[in-house]
Amino acid sequence: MSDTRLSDKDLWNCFWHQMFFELGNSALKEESIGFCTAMIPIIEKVYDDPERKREAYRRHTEYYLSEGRAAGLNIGIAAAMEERYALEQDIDPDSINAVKAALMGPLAALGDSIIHGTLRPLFAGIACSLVIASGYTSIAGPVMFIGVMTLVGLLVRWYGTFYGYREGTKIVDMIENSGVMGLVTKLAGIASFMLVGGFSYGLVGVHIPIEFSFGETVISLQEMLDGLCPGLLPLLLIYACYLLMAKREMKPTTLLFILMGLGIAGVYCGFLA
Amino acid sequence: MTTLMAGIACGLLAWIAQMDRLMVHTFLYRPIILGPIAGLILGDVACGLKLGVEIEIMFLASVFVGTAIPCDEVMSTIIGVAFSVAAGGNTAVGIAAALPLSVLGQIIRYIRASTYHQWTNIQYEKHAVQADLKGMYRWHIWIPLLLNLIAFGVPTFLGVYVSGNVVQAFIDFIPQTLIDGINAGAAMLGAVGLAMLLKAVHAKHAWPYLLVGFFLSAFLGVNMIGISIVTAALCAIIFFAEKDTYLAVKLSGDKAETDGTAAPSRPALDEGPAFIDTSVVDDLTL
Repeated sequence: MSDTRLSDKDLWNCFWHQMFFELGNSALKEESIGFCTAMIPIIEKVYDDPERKREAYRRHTEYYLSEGRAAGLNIGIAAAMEERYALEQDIDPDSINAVKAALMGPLAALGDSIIHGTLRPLFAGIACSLVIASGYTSIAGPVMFIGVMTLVGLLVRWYGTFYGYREGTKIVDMIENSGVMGLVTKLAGIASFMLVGGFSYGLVGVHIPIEFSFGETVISLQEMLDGLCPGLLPLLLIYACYLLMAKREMKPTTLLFILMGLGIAGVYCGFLA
Repeated sequence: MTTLMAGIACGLLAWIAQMDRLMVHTFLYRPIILGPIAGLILGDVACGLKLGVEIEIMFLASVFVGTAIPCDEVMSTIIGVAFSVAAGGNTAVGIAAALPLSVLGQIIRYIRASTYHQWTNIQYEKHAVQADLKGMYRWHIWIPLLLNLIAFGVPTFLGVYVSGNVVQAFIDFIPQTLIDGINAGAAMLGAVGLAMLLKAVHAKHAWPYLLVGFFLSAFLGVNMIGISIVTAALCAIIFFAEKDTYLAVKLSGDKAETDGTAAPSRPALDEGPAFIDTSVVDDLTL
């Protein structure tokens, strides 16, 4: 029965099916249909009996929610388990969904925090800085951003699918038992804070055009502040926003409107430029 | 390009961007990319770049975690650029429009998740349990694509198409000081996005690193690539220094578990991600 084992070609087919992973996402079962469609090449290959195929598809219509690219790992593992159930029939079919459910949380945490919470803001911020530095003429920043992020997404998905298939259930143990998750979370926190600190100078602008004149000397308040600490006002503003949202539980949208109002009032009254 | 063609092109762009978010995910849907593309369509790339950067910074921390849908940046960027270009490159107008438009986009996404995508989901399942592949592809791919074209393409087309007429009236109404004010406000909006990112990342211990990053860019003038290099290096150093400690703590925790002397320390797998604070995303919803 070796011709029903999954080949690389089947896994690549599965990879391309994952390109539609989050389409049709509904509040009802979230990414379940993406997962089921991704399993089509797998199920069609390992099962001959139409009744078993139907049963397999029904299995994969369960609620599923994870990070779109990290789910590749979950799919690879499910592929390995389906193949085993099809050929050797020595695992409990319910365990396939149990493993899916067990992994979707950690994969979502890792995927969302690394790809969407760290890498994407980082490269978006770099792209913004590059665009600003070029005086809004160069598209090098956006091109770099889209290139890097697409590559990252495809790599995560590809690696997850193939590695998940090859290592199968060993990965479940590894993720659950290794303490490395905690460390990675801590490092992601450090990276985010440091990057926000770096961004604060270039991406936020607060300028006070107030000047004092004593006879012939004109002292500009902004120059004084810059002499003390360049970028002090933007940094304080970020901290103030943080406090308002964290301690006073202000909604970000409210804060956006407040800052906009502050900007308008500031220019009218002359204390902002 | 005539306004009609530009409108259609922008409608298609909005559709492609929203679909990208659900499919290949090239991050095309981010304002920093959509801005220049919309600018290209509408005839002013520099304006598109500028607005794209400003909106990107506003939405820097908007992470779609779990099931809470954040404000939508696709329609707001594209129509915002249309408004700005119609106003002669005035990005303040675009920013003013971007906020309400992002709420509109969010509403459409909520409607989608609870109405027509639910319908296609149910239809898909009917075909899945029959192992009917053609039906599955139809209800997973083709029909949702079409429905989303209508849901996102049409409003964006309308927004862009009328932007020319609406904007001039809008501007004549607004004095220059107000526009300067909006520009000043826009420069400060990035603070909210950055602060949101800080709040979402539960890392009280990491505040000193904020100062390090700030010092590097404000006093030393290091650009973002330089700062990323320092960040990556620091993270690697800390990782290698501490990974054995973490593993040892974990193993002793597990041993204590089996001895029955300690409560399990790892978070339950069915809890949401501990790293990203979902309440921040809930705040973005209105």
